[in-house]
Amino acid sequence: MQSYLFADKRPAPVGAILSSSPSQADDVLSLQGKRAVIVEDEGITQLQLTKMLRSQGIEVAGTAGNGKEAVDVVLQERPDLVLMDIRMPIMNGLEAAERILAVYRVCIVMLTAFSDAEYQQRAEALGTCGYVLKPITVETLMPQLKTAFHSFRSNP
Amino acid sequence: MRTSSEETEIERLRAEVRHLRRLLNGREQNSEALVRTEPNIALQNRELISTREELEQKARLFDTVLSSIVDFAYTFDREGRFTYVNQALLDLWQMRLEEARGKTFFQLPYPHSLAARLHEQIQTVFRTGQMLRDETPYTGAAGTTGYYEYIFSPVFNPDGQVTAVAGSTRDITERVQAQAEKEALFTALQVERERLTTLFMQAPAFIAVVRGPEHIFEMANPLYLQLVGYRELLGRPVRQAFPEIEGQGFFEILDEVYRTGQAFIGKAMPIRFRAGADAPVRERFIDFVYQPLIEADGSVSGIFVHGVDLTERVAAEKALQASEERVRLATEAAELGIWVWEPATDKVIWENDRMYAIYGLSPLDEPLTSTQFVNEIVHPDDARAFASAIAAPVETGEPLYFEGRFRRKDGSRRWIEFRGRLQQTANGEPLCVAGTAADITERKRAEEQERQAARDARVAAEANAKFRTFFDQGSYFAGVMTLDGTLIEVNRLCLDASGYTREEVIGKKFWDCGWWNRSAELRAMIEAGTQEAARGNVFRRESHYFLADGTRRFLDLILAPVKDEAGRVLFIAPTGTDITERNEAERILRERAGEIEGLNRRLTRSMKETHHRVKNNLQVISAMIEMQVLEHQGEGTVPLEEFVRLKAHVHTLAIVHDLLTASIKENEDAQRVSTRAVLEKLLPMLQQTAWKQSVGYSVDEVQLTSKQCIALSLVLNELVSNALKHGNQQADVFFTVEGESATLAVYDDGAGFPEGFDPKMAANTGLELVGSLVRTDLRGTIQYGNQTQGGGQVIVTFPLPTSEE
Repeated sequence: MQSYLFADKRPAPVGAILSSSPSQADDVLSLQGKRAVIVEDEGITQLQLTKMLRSQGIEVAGTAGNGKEAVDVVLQERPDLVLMDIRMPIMNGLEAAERILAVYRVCIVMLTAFSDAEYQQRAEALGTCGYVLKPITVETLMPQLKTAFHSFRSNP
Repeated sequence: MRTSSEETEIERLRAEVRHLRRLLNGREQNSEALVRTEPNIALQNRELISTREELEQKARLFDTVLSSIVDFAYTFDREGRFTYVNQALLDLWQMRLEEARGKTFFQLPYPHSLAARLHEQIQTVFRTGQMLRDETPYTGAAGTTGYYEYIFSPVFNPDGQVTAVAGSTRDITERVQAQAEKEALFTALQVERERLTTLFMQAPAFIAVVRGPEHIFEMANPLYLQLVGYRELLGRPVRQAFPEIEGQGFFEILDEVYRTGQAFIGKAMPIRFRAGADAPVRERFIDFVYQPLIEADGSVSGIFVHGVDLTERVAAEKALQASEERVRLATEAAELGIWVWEPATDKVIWENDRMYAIYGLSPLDEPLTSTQFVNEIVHPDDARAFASAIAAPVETGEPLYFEGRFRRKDGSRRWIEFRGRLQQTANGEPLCVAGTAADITERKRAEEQERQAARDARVAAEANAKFRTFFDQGSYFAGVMTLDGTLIEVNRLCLDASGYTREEVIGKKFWDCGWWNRSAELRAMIEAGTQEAARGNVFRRESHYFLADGTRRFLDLILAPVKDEAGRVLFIAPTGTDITERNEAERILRERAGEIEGLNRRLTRSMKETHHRVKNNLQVISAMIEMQVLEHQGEGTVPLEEFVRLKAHVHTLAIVHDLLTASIKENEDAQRVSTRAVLEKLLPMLQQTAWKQSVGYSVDEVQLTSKQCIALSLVLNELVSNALKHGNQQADVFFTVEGESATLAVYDDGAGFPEGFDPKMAANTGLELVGSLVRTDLRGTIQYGNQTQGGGQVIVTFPLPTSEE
């Protein structure tokens, strides 16, 4: 059974994030050069994530504003990572993740403002690899992203 | 007793004595004359001597003769002195003749009164010359009293003068005694005769005497006459006097007695005769004796009839027997034992077997004395009461009454009741106490059960009163019906509340009552429920029912079986509570609960939405800050204008949030925000940031989603900021709606965009942000260009939200 690692929800110290996040990520697993698809219906967040991933050497292979687009983009681009918002128009992130995972095993990290355990459990049950709560900063996102990807790689 | 020959001899001797006396007297007189005649004295003396001798010899002869007789013989002189006493009298006196001679009666052992009488009688004889006969009792020297008859006879001289009195006395004691006995017998006979006469006349028996072979009535006592109705009897033959008795055998019996001389005794023989001339023939019962009267020669001269009329007694005996039989039957029926107790000896007699049965004893056992009863039988706690009860009749004459517990021979404990009364002797002495005994165990049990029943009844009455109060004053409908569903009781509330009268429901089948009979389905349900309750099961339904005026209301109905201790169903108790108001209240409550639940759901949803919105706004702010951090990561600082723009973006978010929240207050489902409301708040705020420039605007009203509104506001904020940055005096904003799309146009009066301007290449976070918002959030397009008269222009076009968004 695929392991499912979810980040400790305790916020990391801001200073530590600003100063050491890149080196810690390197210590765990470098995501540099990995290809990622960002699925987010908020333009600002989508832009933020794009900038954050690129700043970490991660190629943004595509973006999508809803779940339906996400399924198309992911299955077309076949990225290493998918950052998937849950609440989106047309098709939500959980359904999109389910459809994607049904045909393509990829490390999907769920992004949401919802802290409900129900969503988290559903996401875990679908086979996603991580669950990151908004608001997102590079200090909080990247360690979890790397941990999730490491776990995915360890138990593909 | 002397014989007649002896009497004859005595009389002959007496005559001879008298003769001798007379001779003696003559001789003595002659002798005295001779003495007085001197001349012939000698001769005469000789003669006298010869005569004296002869006389003395004769005197001795007389004396011998007189002394040989048992009678007394004696002589007196004129002074009443004894001159001669024969031996018989001397023996009585126990004296010799010499001692007695010359003495008067006064000098002899005679009572003075007797001596005086005798002396006087002697003098009377001297005086009268008449013989005197008399009698007297006399007690001799030996102390023996006898009766004596005496005769004083004058002794005359030749001159006819009385010269002496000769007496003779005969002991007549036996005769007197015989006479006295005869007189006593006669007197007794007379008394007896009178008594017999009285008895005869007053006898409680009927008595008659019939004579001769024809049995002719000679006499009959009053009772006999009364018995036969005072018919004429005396002198009449019995067959003539009693023709109605012919054929009953009595005449034949009389004939037989007369013929044989044998008495006949009849016992309680029935006889039918008339008690009067006109009286009807009636049967009576008599005890009688036909006693033959037998004469000295042995012949039967008549018959003595003696009898007693037993009719009343027989009747009484029959009545008594009947009474005793009734008493016996009654006591047997009443199971009463009969006893007699002698207090003086504590002897007890049990008169019937019931007494033994009461104690569980055999008739061969001895009756229990009161002592045994106290010591062995009666319950110790009741012994004192028993002792008091049996003492009462003797001490006070009060009836005996006792009831108490006792132990039978088999050991069982039972109750007994004694009743008794004192019987006394004729002189009032206590004789015995007689009475009854009864085993009253069952009665006591019944009494106890009765008392218990009374207690139960009181409890039941109290319970019933409580029940009635509860029943009538309760706040629920209640009734009672029989197992076939007939309603026999119903409480007041049930009638008052439903508007029916008792007559309209009592006696009817429950399901036929007006509460149910307006609906066939309802009626069938009630009938089925009643049958279910009659089978012992509780039936409960919430159902509607009808008031007398036809109003339909609701009821919580229970049909409960009323069972006895054995679990048998006795009645069915229908109870019910009108739940119309309760149902209405519950309906309202359910509605309210639904509303609350809806509100809660909406609130939850709203909270989630708010939470999501807040988180999204925070995410937006965070993203903008993060992007500034990333953009200026190598510079070490972020320009102030970026913070001003960030502040404007935060205000923009706040405005949209406020408006959306306000809309939600009016409409919880509101997800749309008025563009005019948002932009007319946002644009004056942007005007405030422009120190010398003015911002003109024109805004069409349209409802956009909050996401579109936020994106539009951020885009507008970014574009106006650029316009003011790059313009001179004026910036204009136009938001127009046309068809299914909206257009935001921002104009400035600056130099305009350079030739070949490519926003992607501008490497401006602000334009990147606008591009991302228009593309992603507004799903629109953006055109950068210049106005023909100069100045830049940015036109954003995006589709209006569909109705489903």
